[in-house]
Amino acid sequence: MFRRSRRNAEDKKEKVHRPSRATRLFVVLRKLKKSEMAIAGLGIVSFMSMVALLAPIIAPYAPEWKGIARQAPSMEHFFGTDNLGRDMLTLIMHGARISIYVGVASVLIEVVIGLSVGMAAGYFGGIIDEILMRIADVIFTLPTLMMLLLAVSMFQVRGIHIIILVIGGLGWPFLARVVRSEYLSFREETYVEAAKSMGATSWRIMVRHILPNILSVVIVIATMDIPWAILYEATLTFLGFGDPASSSWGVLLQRGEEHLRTSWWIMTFPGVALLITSLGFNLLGDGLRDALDIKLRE
Amino acid sequence: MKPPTNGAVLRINDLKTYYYIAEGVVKAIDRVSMKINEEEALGIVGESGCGKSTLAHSILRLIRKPGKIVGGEIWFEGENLLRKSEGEMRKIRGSKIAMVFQNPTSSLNPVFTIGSQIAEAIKLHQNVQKHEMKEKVIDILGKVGIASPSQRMKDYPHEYSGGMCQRAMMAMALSCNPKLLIADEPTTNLDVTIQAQILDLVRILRKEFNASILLIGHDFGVMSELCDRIVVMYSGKVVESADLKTIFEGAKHPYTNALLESIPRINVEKDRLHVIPGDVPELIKPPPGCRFHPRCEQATEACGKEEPAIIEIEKGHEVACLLYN
Amino acid sequence: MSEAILEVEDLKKHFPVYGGVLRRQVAAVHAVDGVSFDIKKGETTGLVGESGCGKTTLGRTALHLIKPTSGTVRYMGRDISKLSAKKMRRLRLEMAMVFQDPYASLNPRMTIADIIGEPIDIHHLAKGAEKEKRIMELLERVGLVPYHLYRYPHEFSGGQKQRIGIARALVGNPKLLVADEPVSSLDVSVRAQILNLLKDLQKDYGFSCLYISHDLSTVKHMSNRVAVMYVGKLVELAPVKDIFDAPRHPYTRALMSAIPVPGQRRENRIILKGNVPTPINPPTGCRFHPRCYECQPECAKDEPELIEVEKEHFVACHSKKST
Repeated sequence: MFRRSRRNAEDKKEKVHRPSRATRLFVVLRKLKKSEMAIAGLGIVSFMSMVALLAPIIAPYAPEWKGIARQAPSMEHFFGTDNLGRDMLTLIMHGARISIYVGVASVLIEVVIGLSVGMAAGYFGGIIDEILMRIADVIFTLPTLMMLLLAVSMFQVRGIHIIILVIGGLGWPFLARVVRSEYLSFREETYVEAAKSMGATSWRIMVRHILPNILSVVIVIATMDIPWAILYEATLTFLGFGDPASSSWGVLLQRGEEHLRTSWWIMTFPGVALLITSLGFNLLGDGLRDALDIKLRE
Repeated sequence: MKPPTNGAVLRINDLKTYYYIAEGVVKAIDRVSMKINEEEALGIVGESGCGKSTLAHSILRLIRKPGKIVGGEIWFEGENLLRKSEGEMRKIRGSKIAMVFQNPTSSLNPVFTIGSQIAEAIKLHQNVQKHEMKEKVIDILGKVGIASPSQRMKDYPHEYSGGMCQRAMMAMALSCNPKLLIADEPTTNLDVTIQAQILDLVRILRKEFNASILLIGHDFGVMSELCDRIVVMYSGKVVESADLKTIFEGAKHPYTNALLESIPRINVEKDRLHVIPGDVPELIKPPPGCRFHPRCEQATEACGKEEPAIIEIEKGHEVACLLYN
Repeated sequence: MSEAILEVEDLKKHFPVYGGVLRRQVAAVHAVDGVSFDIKKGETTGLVGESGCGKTTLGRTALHLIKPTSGTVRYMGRDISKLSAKKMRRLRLEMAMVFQDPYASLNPRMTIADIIGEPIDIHHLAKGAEKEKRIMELLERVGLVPYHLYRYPHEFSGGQKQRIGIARALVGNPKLLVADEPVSSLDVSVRAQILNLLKDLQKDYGFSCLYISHDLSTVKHMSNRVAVMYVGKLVELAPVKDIFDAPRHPYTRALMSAIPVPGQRRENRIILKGNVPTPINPPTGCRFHPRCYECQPECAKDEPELIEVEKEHFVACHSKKST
């Protein structure tokens, strides 16, 4: 229990426990280390990322290599071959490169836009809130696919980066709404009023006071959106807006759907890969969320 | 065997109510004894964590998990309430022992009219015909000082002010003529002038209904208005109990005295208030020996080892302090 | 005659109430409805009243945390509504506030060092080791041991948290401290610590204080002068001794007689009828007239002005008995 100040030699001698900025980061990392969830999540995500990174080197075959079509999983082809004879394992490994990149990048864009819009709308309210939320509503209520198609068709360039920009640029309204409602409630907190009373600028309050409190919500939504982004990319590629030769997981899934009854492995293994990766991101997100909570002592 | 109440309406012997939480056991009430006589008003004074609210809930057996009454006896009308079944307790609550809570507006159901809520309280315990019920409700609302009761009984709680809600709660509590009325911080959230109205009302009602009152609070002034005797609690234990005059003029326990010295009073001029150092202890890990000893100016070494027992130093005046052993 | 640190002139704050399909303004909450008073250098003015009287709104409007609907607030002679945003921000070092709820007024995710260091950062007062030194000095000043600098608020008790809030308010050597119910949320045995601390700090720093509270006993202990508010208006303003020993306004008298005194049972209490009116639709004329036991015919029509009936003693009442 905390003692009141008494002019005591003992008190004076004790040193101030002075953690630097870096130490506080280490505290978060230490907590992450202790959480089994976070370790599992981190493990999965790292593993998948490694696979994606090293795909060209460690894949058993070249992605264009074609052998006997529709071979069931065997010793030579762990995950079988697809309808054109390409090795599934290779395709999945190369697919990871695209899918994980797309997933993370589009969600990053989504978070940046969603946070900024939500912050401004929730904190300032008034006309800013009205305008921003009307825009968000329009984007949110129109069918996603239609919006994606419209947006992509507006750009002449094809390719993965357009897809990423479009997915992130149209996927932010939900996050913005959630962030906005959090800011609406947090701006009424007494410690926000206290900050105002000492002359804090709006920016300072939004970023230093309120943002740390809502990070956990943002993390949860972001990790849930990664698999969605991966699937949207598949649709867009399939409809001709991406690289037609791409073998992202989404594309593999779509291709595999046709052959589900005859060659189940064409769809199943990419599906499992996507599932595990999503799980990994979710676990990591949960672990991060708990690690950021200062009230949970180690 | 003679019922061990001896003219007292309620007698609590060695009551123990503990809360079992993840961090450990919280001994909210740790061997507390007291009695309330017929038509007497007893006040329990204490700060947060002293156990006074838990005590009220224990009497009515309203303690839920993770709390549990683990020991002691509560004698009411010749029977031990702790041995009664839930069904029997339900017959007692609201009719023989009634309770009024701290936050009147949130204690009332917002979707039912005041009149219907009072009627419900009456219906639960008395056999009243429909045509008589309306009269009864109007009558009791009038008794608690609600103007135009026949109209106001059709209002909803949000249409009543804080003071009026508290009156309505009292109407519900008194509708079945209880022997004991427990009031848990009834005026804490009310404005000063409204508080005066309610205290005045309680005085009048006391005469009319002949009930004993157990008043729980932390304001000595409010206690002085209504109570005949006062029990001072600290950290789950009773430290002193005496009649009103004795507490204010001849209190013996260091906590009681320190507390009285530290509150700013209208009628006393002081430049600096007497300070009780430290903070109210956490019940999860109370100090060993006497729970007040870390903050007590007269503490000795023994105080940290031995828990003082309650001793009657003069008639009607009990103290739990090693100074008087 | 000491100069005034804060002068409030005919201050009004109305909050709009929206209703109807088109969400037009249908009514207004007259939280503060024409209040004038001033706080002199080194003095503590207590502001009392019951719920809905507007004292909390008045405290915040005086500090310009809420923009007034009309009226002027002058700090050291300057009209603060005319100041640029930058100058106003700088001024906040000199006008600090201590809040009621110590649990809510400290950001739970910030360390004590961050919390007290915030005004230092905002106004670039110090950096690094110098900043840390200042924070530790402030902690000692408010009676805390400085080496728990990097702990979080939830590790401290209510009384300690309030000390931290006070330390934060003292960073800029304020000339005016607004204390909004600073001890209402604290345990009774801890209140004396904080009240003594505030008094000591006032002696050391020499700041003026606006002490807002509904607890009349603490107001009496802390204030030199007391202002009594009722439904948005000042009904009486006088030195503390006069307010408590010889109140003049019928409401003040009722208020004083309503206070329960430990150890005494008051006879001849003035028990007011009815409830405190809502500030949305205040009574016409004198706001207190429906409950007043000395009501005259003109009280329902004309609002009484605040006039000086004795030296430094102001009352707003039509009744001959109070003036």
